[in-house]
Amino acid sequence: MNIRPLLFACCMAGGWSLAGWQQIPAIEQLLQGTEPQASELTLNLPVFVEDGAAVPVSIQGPGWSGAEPEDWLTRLLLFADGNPNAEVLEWQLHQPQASLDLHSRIRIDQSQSLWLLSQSQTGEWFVQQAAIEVLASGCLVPLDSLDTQGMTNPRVISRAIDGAPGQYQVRTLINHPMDTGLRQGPDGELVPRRIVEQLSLSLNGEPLMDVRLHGAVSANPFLQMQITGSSQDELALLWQTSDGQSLEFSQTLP
Amino acid sequence: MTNISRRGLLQAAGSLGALSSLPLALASTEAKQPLGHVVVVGGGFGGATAAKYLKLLNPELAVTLVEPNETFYTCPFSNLYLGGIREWDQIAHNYDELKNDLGVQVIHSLASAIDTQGRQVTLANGEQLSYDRLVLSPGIDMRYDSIAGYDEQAAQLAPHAWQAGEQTKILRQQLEAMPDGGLFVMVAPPNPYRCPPGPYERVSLIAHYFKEHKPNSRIVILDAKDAFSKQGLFTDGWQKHYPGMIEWISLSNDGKVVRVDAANKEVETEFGTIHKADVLNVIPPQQAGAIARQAGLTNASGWVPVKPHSFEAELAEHVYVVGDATIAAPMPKSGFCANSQAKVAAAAIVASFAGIPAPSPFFTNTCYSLVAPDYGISVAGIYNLDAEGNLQEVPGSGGLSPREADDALRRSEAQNAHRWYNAICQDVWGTKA
Repeated sequence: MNIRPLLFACCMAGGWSLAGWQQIPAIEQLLQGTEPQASELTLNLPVFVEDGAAVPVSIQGPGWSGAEPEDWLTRLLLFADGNPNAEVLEWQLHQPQASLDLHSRIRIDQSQSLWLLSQSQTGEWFVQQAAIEVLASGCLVPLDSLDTQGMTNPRVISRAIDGAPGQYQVRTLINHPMDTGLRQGPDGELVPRRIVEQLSLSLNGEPLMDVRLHGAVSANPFLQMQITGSSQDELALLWQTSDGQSLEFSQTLP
Repeated sequence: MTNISRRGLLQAAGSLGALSSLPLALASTEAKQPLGHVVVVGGGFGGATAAKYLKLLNPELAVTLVEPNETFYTCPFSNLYLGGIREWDQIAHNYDELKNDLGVQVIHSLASAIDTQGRQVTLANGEQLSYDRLVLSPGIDMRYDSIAGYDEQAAQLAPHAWQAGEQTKILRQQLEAMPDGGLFVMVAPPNPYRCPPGPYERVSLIAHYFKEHKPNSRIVILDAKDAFSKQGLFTDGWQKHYPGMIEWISLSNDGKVVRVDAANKEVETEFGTIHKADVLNVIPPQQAGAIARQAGLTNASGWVPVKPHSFEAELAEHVYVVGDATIAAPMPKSGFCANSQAKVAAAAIVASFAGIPAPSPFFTNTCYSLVAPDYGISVAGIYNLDAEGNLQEVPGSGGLSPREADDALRRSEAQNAHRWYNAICQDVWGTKA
């Protein structure tokens, strides 16, 4: 039972009354009775935020869960136990990565815990948890100004990481309202759900990574990742929305 | 004085936060052993208020204020100085009232270390102060190097001007030296930070200065956020007074700056766009003032968690922390909130010496911003504790200036901004406008 000391430590440190991952149906369903081990990955969140609309989240650590070649991590899933829907993001890795450095910006509407589940190629599961407090600031009045239609302005920047040969940082952002289907429009009617559902990355035509986005990802989805590559490799990105739009973008690694 | 009347007095202090009608001397004037010694560190809105109200509530307390500067310049209204609407000495305040009228011992030195176990404050001049209770109002520090290339040296070239003083003067000199047709770039910080509407008021009043003196100049705000305080009101005001002059680039439109080259007045955004400015104002991410971190009062966020009932620090006993350094949302980091929190802390301290529970607090805040000299907007809030004892905005209280309003209302809000400033500075430092 590797998870116990971890949970205990979190409870003691943060004073949080944790609902364990066992209480989250989406995680129970994913694990199918398997007991996850404590993950070596770190899940970074601010201690508190004054505005839950774009909370920076990052995951760092080794791309392997053990010493064997087949121990590389193939899936990472992020859940938020206090959001209307627990699913936040899922990364599917199609090639082993020496180290993971994944970033995004997400919506958190109340104080809660985030859970990171990761799975190695051998099928083993690992779990990590982090807590966040949402303290809305009285001076910040949210705007209802997201009226863009569809995906616009894809932005991609990739750069070699100093001191890590063959490692690149890829940062992406695309303008899209990420309507969850839970928000009321000016007419009082619910704005239909319409989100960017997936970003797929490939390198020289080989699938590299698929990122699955849920409604908890902030408007104008921001995704950053570390990849293994070489100068002049061709990086291709494909965004797809829930209403069938897609947008492609490609870039040569510097 | 009986406990009952003192309790009533404390209740008044904690809930009304306004004690101007109280007699100054509440206790016997006979020389006595002080009831206890309270050291207050920091002479800004929070610290000066705490020192004053401790003495007003119980003159038997010995109160020492530690503040390095003999003259204090306020961040509120420093934007008016930048816009050429107020002179430098009109945002200056001193400690004469505390020293001469209230019997507070004021030491002009820097508190360099606090030992919360031994209840000792060490000053930069070598002096050691023992305390029974400590009030800390340390303000903010910049998180230097959270943006690559932006450190204390860089701030001499690309000032933040987010602590009023030399930094404010550097920025004004640069604006005055800038040729007509130049570009002013402001890098606006992520939440949480001191004075949420402050960056946008600053841009407004610099636009006013440009309109009068350098009408072909432009302003770009590079923001680490997708929304800001009083946004609709500010953008309406910009449209009316400075059409086409101000461009706001949000986080989701590549507004986040990741690198500063202060020598060349250049910044780079997270997607690699370079903006070259004539005058560059970088307001970086912030954290609690250094002394709060040294004393071990901050958590991993870099800010100080406090008990909302009294503003006593969560991480040390007999220490009260007020103002921008604290985690007090939904209260914003404002001078008015620091003033309101300091009165609550003073009442809680006096109650603790009297051996009675601290009164149930509530707090007020108003943030006026000037978009132009005759065009003011505001947001107000009243705060208390919810059933769980957490800070909350009183439901239905406060609010924003209306979006639709005539010139008379904007003018009257601008006048109220000046009245507010004069009133609070009289309350905090005894400054007569």
